[in-house]
Parts: sequence; structure tokens; C-alpha cells
Amino acid sequence: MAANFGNYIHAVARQLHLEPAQEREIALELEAHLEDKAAELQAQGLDQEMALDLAVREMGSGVTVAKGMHEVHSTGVWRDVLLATAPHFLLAALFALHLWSHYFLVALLAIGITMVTWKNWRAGNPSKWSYSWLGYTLAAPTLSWLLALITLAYGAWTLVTTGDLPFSFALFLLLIGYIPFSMWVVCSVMAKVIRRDWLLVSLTALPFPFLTSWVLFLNWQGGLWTNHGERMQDSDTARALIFLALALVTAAFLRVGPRLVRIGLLTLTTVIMVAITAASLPVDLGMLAVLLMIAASVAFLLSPAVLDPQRQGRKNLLEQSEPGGVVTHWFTNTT
Amino acid sequence: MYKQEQLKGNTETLLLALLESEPMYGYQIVKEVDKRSSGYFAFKEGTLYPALHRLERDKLVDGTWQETPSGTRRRYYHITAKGTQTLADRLKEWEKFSEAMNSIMLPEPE
Repeated sequence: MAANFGNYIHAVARQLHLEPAQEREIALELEAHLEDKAAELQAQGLDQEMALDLAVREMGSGVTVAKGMHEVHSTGVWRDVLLATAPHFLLAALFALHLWSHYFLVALLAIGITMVTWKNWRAGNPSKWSYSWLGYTLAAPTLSWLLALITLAYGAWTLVTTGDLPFSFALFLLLIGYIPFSMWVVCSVMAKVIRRDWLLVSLTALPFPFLTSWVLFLNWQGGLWTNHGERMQDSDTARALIFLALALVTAAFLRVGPRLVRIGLLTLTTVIMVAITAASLPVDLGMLAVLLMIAASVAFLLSPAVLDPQRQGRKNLLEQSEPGGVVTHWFTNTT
Repeated sequence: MYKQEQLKGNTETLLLALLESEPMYGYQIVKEVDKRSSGYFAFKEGTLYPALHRLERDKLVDGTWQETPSGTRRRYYHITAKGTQTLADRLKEWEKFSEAMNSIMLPEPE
């Protein structure tokens, strides 16, 4: 009998955006309910198809069920909020205390964050708070990939125009190998996160637009490894504020349930973050450039939604379970 | 409509009150509400489970899988000590609330 509910249950489970074990447990519970209901209706004289039809109808919209369950299980308790905001606060302190140019400290912090992420993720059941830690862990390969790409492009251009490489051939080969490797690391981790919920990918990548623009600016200012300590300290307060804003939005993200509110939060924060970043740079970018940066950052952060491969299929399937919808669908496609 | 709104605002207290008498599974709760209210309240089944899971998240109830003699597995919800205390507090509040409401809406003739 349960196979007849297959599509409905499966679609609800996939719309939950929770851990697979949680999704499975909720699906089993709903399935048991539908089976009980259908059995009772059959005992009252309905044929199996009618009983199944009515049981699904009375359960109500699959979207509502999934949304309600998602809101209950995806919101974090205060402990999750405290742990999730910790890396943002650490970064804010790093800038507020003008310590970011002490590369030993930065490296120590990066290693610490990576170790916490690794410890949380190796069991295969990441906590709700771990996505902000994952974001900073992935920032290193992402930014180094970007810098390697810039260096490689510079090397290739110099080779074409002058006939000489500006650095050793071994480094050139190393960069060619490193770029796909770092991309593979980032993409494979993000692919795992997107299977659970594309919004978590957006939360993970939240600091990326700011970190990227900052590192690119440092690079443009004369190379990442030169001493910027004095040159850039004037805008450290603005940068500390950006990390505080990231902490606040992460806390709000974990405490609110509705997905639309979460999407709104991420979008609004990105706009504010890019505006503060642009205002804190010691060059005038112009309104058009700032607007383009905002549009690109928002598009980047919400792009995982497009990569969610089964999104549309699930939506169609669930919409047909709305009261008044064509529920006979469940009985014609139950392989 | 008004009835559903009333029910919505008191769903969790209602569930705690039901589970105080005995552990139940979801479908059993729907049937029990229907029986005890003589069909007056009808739980929207899809909203029952988020409410039960919210109570479990807040540690007011505890859900455990149990197998029935016929081999069917069902998730039974048991009220916890915290849930019992919460229910007692809410019932006290409910008594005061309904008393105050009645004194205004259904005044006794003088």
C-alpha cells in the first residue's frame, strides 16, 4: 500500500531540506499516518484507490507539511547561534584590533577554523552552526584559486607579449595543476551542501563577495604579500562592521524559519555589505560600479538556487497535492 | 474559520493535554480529538506533525518508534516532566482566561 503514496511522501521528504536521516524519519511517520487513514477508509467501504486519494487529500498540501517541518527542524537553538557567529566575531576582532596584517595570527586563525570544520564534518552529519565555519574554511582555496588564476593569466600574457615567463616554469605548471584542484575541492564540498539545501550554500558563501573584493583590492594595491598594515588600517573599522553584520545575519538566519525571510536576509545583507565595502575603499568607484558589484554579489549568493536540480520537479509534484489538485497522479507513477 | 483560529492558537496545549493521559501516535491523536470533541474540532492532519515536532524540539514531548503486535511501526509521543509542568501552567492560565472571558461574554443574570 505504501508504494501508492510514494511520490507524495518522496516529494515532501525532498522539500524538507534536512539531514537525510531526519527526512527519512519524517517520511516514515507520514507514511504510517497515510496507511492508517487509508486502511480505515477502506474498512468503511471505499476501494483502495479512493481511500488512498482521500488519505492524501486530507493530509493537505505537501508544501505546507514540508514547510512546517522545515521551520521546526532547521531553526537553531541559542547554542547553535553562538557557535555559528563565533568565526564572524573572531574576524571582526581581527580587524577591530588591526591584527589582520599579522600573517602568523591570520594563519593560526585559518588553521583553527579549518580544524573545527573538519572535526564537525568528518562524521558526515554537520551541525546547523557549522556552515559559517565551512565558509571561512573554503575561503582559502577559493581566494587562492582566484589569485592563482590572475597570476597564471599575467604569466601567459607576459609569455605571449615578451616571449618570457615572469616566473619559473615549475611555478607555471604548479599553478595549472592547482587551479582545477582547488576548484574541485570547493565544488565537491558545495555539491554536498546543495543536496541538503541550496540556501545553506548561500549562507556558507556569504563572506565570499567581501573577502574576494578585499583580496583583489590588496592585490591591485601592489601585491598581497607586501606590507599593507599602515596603508589599509584606516578602514579597519568598516571591515570589522562587515563581519559584525555577517554575525547578525547568521544569527537571524538560524532563528527564523520561513525560507523567504532567510532569502530576504541574505539579499539585504549582501547589499549593505557591498555598499560598506565600496565606501571604505580609498578610491571612488562610482555609483554604476557599486550597483554592478551589488547585482553581481546578490546573483552569486542566490545562484545555488538555479543549481538545485530537482527543485522544479519537486515543486510540480507537490503542487498537485494541493486540495483540489489532481491527486490521481500518485497512482499512475509509482514505480 | 473562527473555530479553526481558536484551535490553532491552542494546538500545543491541546496536544499536551491529550498526551498527559497516555502516549499516542499521530493518527491516534487525530481520532482522539475527533472523539473527545464529538467531531467539533477536526485537526488539519498536515499541521499536526509540525506541532508535534515543535513540542519535541522544545523537549515537552518525547517521540519513540514502537512496533505494534501486527508489526506496524508507529511513532509514539510521550509527555515529559517539562511538558507536564508546562501543561499545568497553561491550564492555570486557561482557567483564568476562560473565567474572565465568560464573566464578560456570558454574564450571570443578577
